[in-house]
Amino acid sequence: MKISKYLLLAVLFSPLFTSCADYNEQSVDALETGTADFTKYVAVGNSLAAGFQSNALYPEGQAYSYPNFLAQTFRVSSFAQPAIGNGYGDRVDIADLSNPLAPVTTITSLSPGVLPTQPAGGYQNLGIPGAILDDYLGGVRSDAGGNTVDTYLQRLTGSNGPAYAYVLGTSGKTISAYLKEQNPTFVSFWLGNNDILGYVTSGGLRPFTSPTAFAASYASSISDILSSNANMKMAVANIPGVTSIPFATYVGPIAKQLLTASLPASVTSIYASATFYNGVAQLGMAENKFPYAGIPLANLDKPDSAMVLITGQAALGWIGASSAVPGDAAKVTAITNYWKGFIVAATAGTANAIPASVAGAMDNATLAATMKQLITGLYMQTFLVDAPTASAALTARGFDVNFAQPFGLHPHNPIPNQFILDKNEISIAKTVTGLFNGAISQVVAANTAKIAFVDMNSIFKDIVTAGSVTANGVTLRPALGSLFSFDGVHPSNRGHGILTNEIIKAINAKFNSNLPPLMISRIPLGYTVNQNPS
Amino acid sequence: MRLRLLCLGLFLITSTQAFAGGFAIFETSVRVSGMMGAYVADGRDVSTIFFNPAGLAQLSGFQFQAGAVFIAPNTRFRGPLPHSVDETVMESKTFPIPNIYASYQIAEGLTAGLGVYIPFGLGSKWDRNWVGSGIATETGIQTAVVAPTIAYMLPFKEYGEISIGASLQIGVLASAKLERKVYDFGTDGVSLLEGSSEEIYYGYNVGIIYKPMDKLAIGFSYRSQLELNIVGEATFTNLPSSGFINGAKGDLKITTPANWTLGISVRPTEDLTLNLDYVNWGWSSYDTLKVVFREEYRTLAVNEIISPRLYNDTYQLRFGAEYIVRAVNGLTVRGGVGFDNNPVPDETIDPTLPDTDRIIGALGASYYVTPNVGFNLYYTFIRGFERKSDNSANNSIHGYFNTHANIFGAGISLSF
Repeated sequence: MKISKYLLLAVLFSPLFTSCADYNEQSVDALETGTADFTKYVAVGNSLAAGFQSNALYPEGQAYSYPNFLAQTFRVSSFAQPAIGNGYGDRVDIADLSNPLAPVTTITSLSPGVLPTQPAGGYQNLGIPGAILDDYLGGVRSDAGGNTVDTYLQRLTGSNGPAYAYVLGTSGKTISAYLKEQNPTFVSFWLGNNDILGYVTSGGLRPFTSPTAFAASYASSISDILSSNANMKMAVANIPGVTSIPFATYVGPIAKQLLTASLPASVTSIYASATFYNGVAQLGMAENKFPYAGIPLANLDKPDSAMVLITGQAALGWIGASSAVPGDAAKVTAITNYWKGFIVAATAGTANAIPASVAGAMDNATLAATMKQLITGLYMQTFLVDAPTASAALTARGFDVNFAQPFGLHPHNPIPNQFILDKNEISIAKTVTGLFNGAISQVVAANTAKIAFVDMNSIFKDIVTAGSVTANGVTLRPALGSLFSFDGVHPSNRGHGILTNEIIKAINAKFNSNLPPLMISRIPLGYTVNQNPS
Repeated sequence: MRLRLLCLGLFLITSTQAFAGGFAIFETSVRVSGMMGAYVADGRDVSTIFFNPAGLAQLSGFQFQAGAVFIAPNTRFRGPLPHSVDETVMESKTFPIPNIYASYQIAEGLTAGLGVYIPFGLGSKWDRNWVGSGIATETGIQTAVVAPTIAYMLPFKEYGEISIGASLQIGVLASAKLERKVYDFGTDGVSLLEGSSEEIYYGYNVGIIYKPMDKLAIGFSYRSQLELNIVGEATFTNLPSSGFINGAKGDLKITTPANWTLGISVRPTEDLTLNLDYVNWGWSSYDTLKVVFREEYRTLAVNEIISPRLYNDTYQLRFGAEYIVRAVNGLTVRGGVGFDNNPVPDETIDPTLPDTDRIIGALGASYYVTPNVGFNLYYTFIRGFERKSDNSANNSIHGYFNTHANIFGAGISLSF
């Protein structure tokens, strides 16, 4: 029968369409690793490596850390980052999305909850928020109170928060020891930022690491890693200009506009308290013997002259407040409360320690007298003079403390040092960064065959000069919510992508590898928004 | 800042997993699809209302046909390159595409008809957490057209028969659904834009068939663009309400491509018909996809989202055959093969429409239980060529796309 012929035809036909392989076997192109071996990658670094963003460590930020990106690029099968539970720190969130590049921010306190235990293979991301260079080998340094402490151990015990304790456990192991247990074949090393960053973010209050000590420590740290494995290869990054970060540059232009508009035309300068410089004589800086600095309003947006730090935004609202004006009472209380906290912190651990309960009870006159005493003491300490000499010197410079003067507009009621980097401080920060980078370059040059050098300083400088960087159709500016997260210090998700691509470029150039760059546009923005979701 | 947020591309709307190049559907007739849709010069079935309205002039009496095709696509993605070729299979789903055609001969050589069919459509659904979920998790477009048609055979036949026909396409349904994850504010954000047209849209279809002799026919038809004006409403889940306003309304305009078809139909014997069509699709009209929001959209600062599509014009080659099996009373069998080239350029290929060139094979049959009542069946297999995406613009995901589809159809024909 003829129908059977067609049925047969149909049956014969159908396998042609259905049973041949649906697709070709595909595999990824092999990674050309060149002269490097990426099989076991460990990252040594600070908060940048940890994936700290917007002033906090949290899983969504950690996922986009540059070491994690690098591990994906290296196709490392297991690259463990320390799990931080729900997160840790006072995260800077934006209040809404109406203007993410000039955001209104709020703080969300994150609490890690129960931390998971360390995986059997340990962690490969050894980025520790707050780590300075000396922490790699577990050096000993002095704390803010002048006490000699093993700060590294302090981190381990968790007194600086669980993030620090959690990376290395409570065994007292150094990062160096932990790294050697991991027996890596490739290490990224990016430390040293915090050795100067603390100085900048504290407005010059916190010390920076001595450049001489830095150079020695850098050389021994790198040699410690290189000597752990004969075939070790590294990517080493230097320190980008810490005075170009939004933390230092964002508020100035806003402050200038605000103050120019609100203050009478006769006011041309604001005044900020300043640090005496002595220990920095080696940097060629002129010694500063004035307890305050006058800053021309016109210079507030000039990054070489003055920088209002991101922390100083609240203090801008206090400008002009005087205890002689009853309506200013709330602002004056805020100002005196700030100073009360300051003298408690500054005297902590000294023979003349002032407890919070005592400071809190001070009236304005007592507070002013105490501050004068404190500054006289610092002057004596700095210039190694006796009390009468110091007192005379300060009196000769018209020094006093008087809350009846308009806040910030008179030398006797200055804006706290912590909120402003003045011209000298900016210059010092730049000089120190330059010295650190010089030391890094020397160490790199001595080990050039084994180190891919990432000149983050030049890369970041170029971005700042150009005003932006564009990749895959995405343009990022050195600003909050763009290249930077909302703390103005740490990179955003996409900022980490840009960093990663620069590291990849340096690795490929040095080791003849062909690591592919990340597609920046595919990296989520990672905005942290403090708002009930819709 | 407006550009940054523009880059979110919240409403990337495109088509997905279509069954002809782009998101056109030509499986609009169970009978004709069994011949691979090669029908522009043939037109002896009432579904010629879709393929070439001129064909209707050949039909006498009352003709009716109804049917549905069921499209079961299978698409997989392997990637993302360059680091992975892990496989994700699109969620399987079968789409029913109904069609109805009827005609009535008013006078000798003059026939009127009405068709209801789905000229464009698509649908795709991926797992909510698949690797490309930031680009698309679910995409759908639906259309439906009612087409009153008139055809006329010129009375002078010295040089053969000339039929002309025209169809008005009255668009009665146009809807779209676009869903994707938004990872910019966490891992759970979902953006959905869904809506339909609030107005009727119009297009037309005209054609001509020239039969110089009984065994040969040449046909040509032209189908106009359709402008779909869809009013979408946004639903956002787990996204900050300051930037994502639930219920925000946006207008989405999709212009479907015009096409023209030139074909030849040969009947070497009384029982055998061989048809060959060349179809040209004007997909290059689909340059950008634009959503215009009706109300102020705070985050976006602008009220338009434009995403480039840059489609190319495409063609199809369709070959079909029909054979009346005399041995079995009432049986007709059909078959066909086709080649379909795709309009999506390398620059804009992405998982919303991982389109590819494809070869198509079709088999079909009709069985008439009485001379007036027939049942139609058909089956089509579509194999897409593997498509590698590694050159697409900035927002896409790279990898290999593979697609095949099974299509079944069943229907009934009545004539009086």
